[in-house]
Amino acid sequence: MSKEIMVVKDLKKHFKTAQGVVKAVDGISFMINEGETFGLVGESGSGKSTTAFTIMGVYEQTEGDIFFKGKPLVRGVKRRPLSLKKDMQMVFQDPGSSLNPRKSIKQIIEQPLKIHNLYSGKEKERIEELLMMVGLPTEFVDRYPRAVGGGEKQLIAMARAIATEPSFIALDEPTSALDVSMQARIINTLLRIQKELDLSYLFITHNLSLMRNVASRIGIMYVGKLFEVAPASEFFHKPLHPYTRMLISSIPVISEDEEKLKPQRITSRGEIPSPVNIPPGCTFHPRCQECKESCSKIEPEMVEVEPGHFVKCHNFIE
Amino acid sequence: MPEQLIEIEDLYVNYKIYEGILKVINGVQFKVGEREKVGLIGESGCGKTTTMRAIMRILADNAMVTNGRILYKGKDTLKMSDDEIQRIRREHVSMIFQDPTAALNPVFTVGDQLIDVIRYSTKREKLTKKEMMDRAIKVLKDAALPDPERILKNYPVMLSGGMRQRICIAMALVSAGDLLIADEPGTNLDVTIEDQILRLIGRLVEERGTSIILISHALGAVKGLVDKVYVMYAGNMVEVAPTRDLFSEPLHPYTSNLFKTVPKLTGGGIPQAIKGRIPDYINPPQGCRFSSRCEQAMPICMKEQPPFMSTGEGRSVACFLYG
Repeated sequence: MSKEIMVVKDLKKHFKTAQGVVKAVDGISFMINEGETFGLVGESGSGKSTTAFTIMGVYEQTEGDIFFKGKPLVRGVKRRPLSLKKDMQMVFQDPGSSLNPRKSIKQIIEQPLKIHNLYSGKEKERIEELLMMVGLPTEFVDRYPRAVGGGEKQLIAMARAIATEPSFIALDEPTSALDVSMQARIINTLLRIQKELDLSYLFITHNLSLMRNVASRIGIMYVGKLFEVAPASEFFHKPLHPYTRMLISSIPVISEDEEKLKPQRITSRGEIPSPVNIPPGCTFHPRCQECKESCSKIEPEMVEVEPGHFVKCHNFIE
Repeated sequence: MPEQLIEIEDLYVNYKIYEGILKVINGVQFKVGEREKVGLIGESGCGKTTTMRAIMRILADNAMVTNGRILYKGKDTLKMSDDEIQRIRREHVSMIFQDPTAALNPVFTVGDQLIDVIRYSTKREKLTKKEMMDRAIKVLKDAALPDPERILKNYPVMLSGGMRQRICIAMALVSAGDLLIADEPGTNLDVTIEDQILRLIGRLVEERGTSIILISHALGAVKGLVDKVYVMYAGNMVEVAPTRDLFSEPLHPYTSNLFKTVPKLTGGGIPQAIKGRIPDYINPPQGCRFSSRCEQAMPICMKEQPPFMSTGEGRSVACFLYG
């Protein structure tokens, strides 16, 4: 059994707004093993990014604990020690806004090296080495972000993230803004670097087909709650939760083989509810086609149906 | 053979920018028949939207059509008077844009905006206010929006992205007598909502007997809805085929490479991306614009542009491998 690098226990993140309390993340638990890619999928507004931001300390959690390498993480990034920040990095969705347009690529990648006092005197060599690792030409050092393409910007963000030799990287929709052919290049680079540097990834995307090819275990979120957690192949071959099945059957696919894999067509209906006004009982019941009477009253518990396969649905509770 | 509704012949469009002239659309051939459902796929920046905007004559100010004809029921839209093209936009051809938030005016209610569209597109019918209102409610119902009376009084910010896109569809349907152009209608939405929107468009188009051009880079979405698919690369149509044939047996090297890079639900990893990138439009390469990225390129590919030739059974391909 591989060792776990991160354990999240009953994590909650609530935001107070004028309309009421937004329960963006509402009691989720999962763990990430060393060297694996844990995927979080879900529709927009389901709390995937909030989870990543809370783990990284951008937000302070309302409740719950996060353990990293066995030690509990301090709430909020300001109080975390520098060595911890060095060990955990993040890549954001939009590389256009996560790279400073006024700085050259050399300055961008140099920043974390300076902060963490790494490779002093040998920064230039390190930056070139990092660019080569992500498959970019070393001439890029003197360019500015506007002079490179969207996909290449994302590779630069990746180079910046691995500059401090972290062991964990949170990837928040790293390819959503890109074309399929660029996406293929980024994903292949990410997977290669993961092997080379023995990294653990928290990978967030709403693209299930992509997730199938990237993650080793997958968790599906819906309005702040985890509905199902399973190893990737089981998640797609034996999806249990009605929401998972609805989501998988909504994916547009291009080949006959894929069509066969999809569960019996479940027509998607309704929309994700507002996180201010969450339906009682199981949050999914207004959209669920297998909704029973108890579903609108009692919230189901997460149960382990098979080893490593968890599901939160009344259908699986005896 | 269905009657041709839109026929684009040898279209060239350039954009004038500070650095020079972008030669974007490079001899496009494109046909849409009556009651036909057509898909258009390709990477971003390959000229899909420019081609569609040329049909509607809503290109940006710095765009120049340097050659070609766009026939709408046999009449060249590029030579039409402003009145004629306005009438086509009002009554015959309509477009749904990618971002519903940007397509709706935030300071007017949905009702104000929808009634405006109805007023202009039914100018000749001389409807009363009441009749316009009834029609507004009807199209919202057609677009599967619950509680249309309330929605008419709402501002766009009060509605979700999926609902906003449904309103855009409703508006487009009011004036789409013959053709609906849907430019990435689901790209900004979630998969379940995108699925709902595409099914809705498919149903409405079927019911009303209008033609549709569906643009998307979500290849699977296109596959489910249309009869034939055009593949575009760097300002050229590189392939057209009936949907089933295209996905089971793509001919052009670009098409097959594009299909390979799409992550599959069945797993098995993601193959290497197509090497290189879309060519520079200021100095486009001579010959086939895909040649520098093509693994099967021959010497002739670097010199001459391959013609868009028919290979039979409703298929055409622009590649020297097949000619």
